[in-house]
Amino acid sequence: MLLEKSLIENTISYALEKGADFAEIFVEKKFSQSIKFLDKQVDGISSDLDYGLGLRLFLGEEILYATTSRPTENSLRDLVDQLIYRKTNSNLKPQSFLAQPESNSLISLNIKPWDQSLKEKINYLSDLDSFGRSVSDKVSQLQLSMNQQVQEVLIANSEGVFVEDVRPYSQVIINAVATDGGAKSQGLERKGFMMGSELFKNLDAKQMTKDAVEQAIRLLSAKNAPAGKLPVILNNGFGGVIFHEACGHGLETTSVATGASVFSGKMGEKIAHEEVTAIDNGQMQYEWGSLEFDDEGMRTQNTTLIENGVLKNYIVDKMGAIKTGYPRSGSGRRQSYHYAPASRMRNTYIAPGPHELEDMIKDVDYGLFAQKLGGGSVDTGTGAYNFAVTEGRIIRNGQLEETVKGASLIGTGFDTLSKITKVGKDLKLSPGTCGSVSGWVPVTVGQPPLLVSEITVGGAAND
Amino acid sequence: MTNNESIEFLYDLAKKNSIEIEVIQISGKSNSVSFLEKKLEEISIGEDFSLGVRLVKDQKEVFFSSETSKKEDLEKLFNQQAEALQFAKANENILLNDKIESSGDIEAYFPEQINSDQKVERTKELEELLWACDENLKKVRNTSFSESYSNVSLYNKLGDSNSYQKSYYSLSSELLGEKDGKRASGHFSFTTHDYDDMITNEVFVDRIKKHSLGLLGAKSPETGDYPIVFERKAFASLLSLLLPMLNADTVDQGFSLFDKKQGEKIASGLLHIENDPSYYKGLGRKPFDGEGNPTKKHCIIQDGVLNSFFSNNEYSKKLGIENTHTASRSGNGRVGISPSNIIVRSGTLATTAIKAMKPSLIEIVRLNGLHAGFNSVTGDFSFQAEGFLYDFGNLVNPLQDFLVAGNIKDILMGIEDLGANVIDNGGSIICPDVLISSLKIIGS
Repeated sequence: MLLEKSLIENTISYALEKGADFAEIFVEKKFSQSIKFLDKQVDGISSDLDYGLGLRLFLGEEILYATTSRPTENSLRDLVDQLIYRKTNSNLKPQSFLAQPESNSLISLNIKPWDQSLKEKINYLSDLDSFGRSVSDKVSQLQLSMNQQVQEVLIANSEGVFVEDVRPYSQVIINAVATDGGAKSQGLERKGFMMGSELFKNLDAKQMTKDAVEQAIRLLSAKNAPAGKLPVILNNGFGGVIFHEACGHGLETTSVATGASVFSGKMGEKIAHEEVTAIDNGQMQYEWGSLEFDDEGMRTQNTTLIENGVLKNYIVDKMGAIKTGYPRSGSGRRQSYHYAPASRMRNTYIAPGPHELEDMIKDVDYGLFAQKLGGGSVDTGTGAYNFAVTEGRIIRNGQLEETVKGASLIGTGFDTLSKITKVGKDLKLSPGTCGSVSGWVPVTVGQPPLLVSEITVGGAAND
Repeated sequence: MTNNESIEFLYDLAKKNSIEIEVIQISGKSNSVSFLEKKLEEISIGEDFSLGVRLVKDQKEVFFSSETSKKEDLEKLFNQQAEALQFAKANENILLNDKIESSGDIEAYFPEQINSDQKVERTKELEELLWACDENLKKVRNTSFSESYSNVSLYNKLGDSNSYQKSYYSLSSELLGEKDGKRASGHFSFTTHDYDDMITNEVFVDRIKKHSLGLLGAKSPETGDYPIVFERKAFASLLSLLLPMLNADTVDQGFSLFDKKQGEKIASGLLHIENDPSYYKGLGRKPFDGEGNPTKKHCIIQDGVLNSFFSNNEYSKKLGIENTHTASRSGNGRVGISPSNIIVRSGTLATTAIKAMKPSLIEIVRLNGLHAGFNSVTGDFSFQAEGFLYDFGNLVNPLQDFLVAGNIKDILMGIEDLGANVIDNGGSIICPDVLISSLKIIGS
């Protein structure tokens, strides 16, 4: 156990005695290992051990939060005293801890990161490096990373929650640089799952490497992307970042509760094209954004956010539920004990629709096929979002034509949701990392191909 | 174990295994208060502690870090990484210092200048001022005051140490306005080492208004090429993307477009940038770098010409260039390269005079999506932007819903003038407003 149960019980009792309406302890121990391969050789081997405790108290709707990496009986009582420095009244008594809930087996940890030899991991990266360089003599650099993490958490609160959870993460990142004369370009592939080292046996990392190299080579001769308001087909997989940025953040109660989100007060209203159904699911086996239990100790749920264009649910954490009255969805998340939890997305995607990609392309006279997507950001108050296309294709007369370089796309969530005119069949998910008020957390984005009738494309082409 | 016992334990382990060791120990304390809807929303306090360890043997190096000082955890991590040394690459350029030299007192530690009640009162007063600042205001979000302290101690291979302390005071908030059914919002924060240098609540309100409510009534500009003034904070955000490309490690690894450009003109002759680790108002000031070298001034771009890249022990030796004493080292112990305070030389004309010279000039006050819209290998960028359209210095209207696109080289070479005034932004990049002759704008 990460911390003695009696110490947790005593701290929670003391916090309630001092006047807290709610007390929660989050203890975390996280082991991380990173191996980097660059210039055909090992570039770095590092390991990190994070350990600490976050104590969260509620006084009405006030949040009091404290962290320490050295939790003792005295240090925790001292934190409570510092947080509740003024006289308050509460006669609440902590509830007895409930039994640990059963596991839904969302993760796989057959081979722990520290049980696979370094030699084996380095050979794996070395083989990928050799393979990547054999794909083309235009490869001028390959940077390969293998990142693994095992996060153990213990979450207990004054309402009887007592949950322990283990969350493994393994990830491979391939970054290829191609050079031809004076031209230089880059291709990037990233895959990650909630698994131990067994991931590396199951993953087709050579295909990932080939994809990264081929992307870099295609972009060597690519022209600038076009500029202006155009029809855009957003490819499946990481294309889902558009929903994540344009809508997802605005559906988190962190924004909704203050009335500042453009989606505040829209429950039950039609906010998107009827073909759009959007899901935020925390219970997908092995997926990067899954969690058996959220960081508030609640089992995560499969939450339908938008059904056939109608807003059905928000993304709700504990404080969000108190402030808005909507039920919690198991969405309280945080990067680490350094952060108080907040409502955050998990595996968020648009459900498949009826259309073939080819038919969607045929619908476009002149537009952009956003083939590879990067990250983005959103202002939840205005709904204005941006995200990057790292590689595109021009669509002319219903045909895919030349490759173009990256460009950012901008719009507002409402406007773009209403302009999704066709939803494709082929759903794909992609892992990513999302930054917000409670730090950086692993998430999955996803969608089938989407045809949007108009988005502003920020390419540098002059014609 | 206490902090000192942890250090002694690690050095003993290293000695027993004939491994050279360097350790950085970073500890800190922080607290903050925030207001929402005119009520106290959150109080937080925190303590941080980390040990970052570098192990070197036979010119091979590995790293580990720990937030716990438990003996068994440290021993396990040490043994694991000691074993990993055999797989690390041999690097003849690794150089561990045998002394830690300081460039002097950095005057960045001004503790306990404001008590808890005063913090709450100041934040409450700021939020009240913000609520009253404009009739079109819809929401004030996340108005907070934070205070933090850090202590950085570097231990060299001989076990000798040196340390420095810093204090930080920060105010931040976010405004959302609505007019005629259209919204505009903006965030502003100001951080200083010395609370005496904190801007007043009234100045804070003035600054945040321009970047939020000032954008109400915005239109989307017509697509085309425009002369652009980057307001200093927007230009600082561009520089934060450019600077890693001027680090010797990025260049050597083939990820910078400035490879082989040393000594060449890469920018307008008006651009002059130096790293000044002692600059009084810069938040990056420090007396020694991450390897124990005394920090020093270094001019990276002199009248448009690229000087020696920012470097550390390894890359100055490997590339045969000046050691600019800009080794960075965060709590995880890894050695990298990063300058301290970047100072851009100002020009002679006030920004208002610069704007008055041009018809259809766009002032960009904010760039969004910086992390995604920039390709560091090619220098291509495409950013969502917000700002104002001017005609010979007269404000035409605010601008939103547009992008600025091009290549970072276009910006550097296209600098036509720089503003005379450098106003403290509360950061580590200090620069004036910058006029670029022409950039592509994509709007309506």
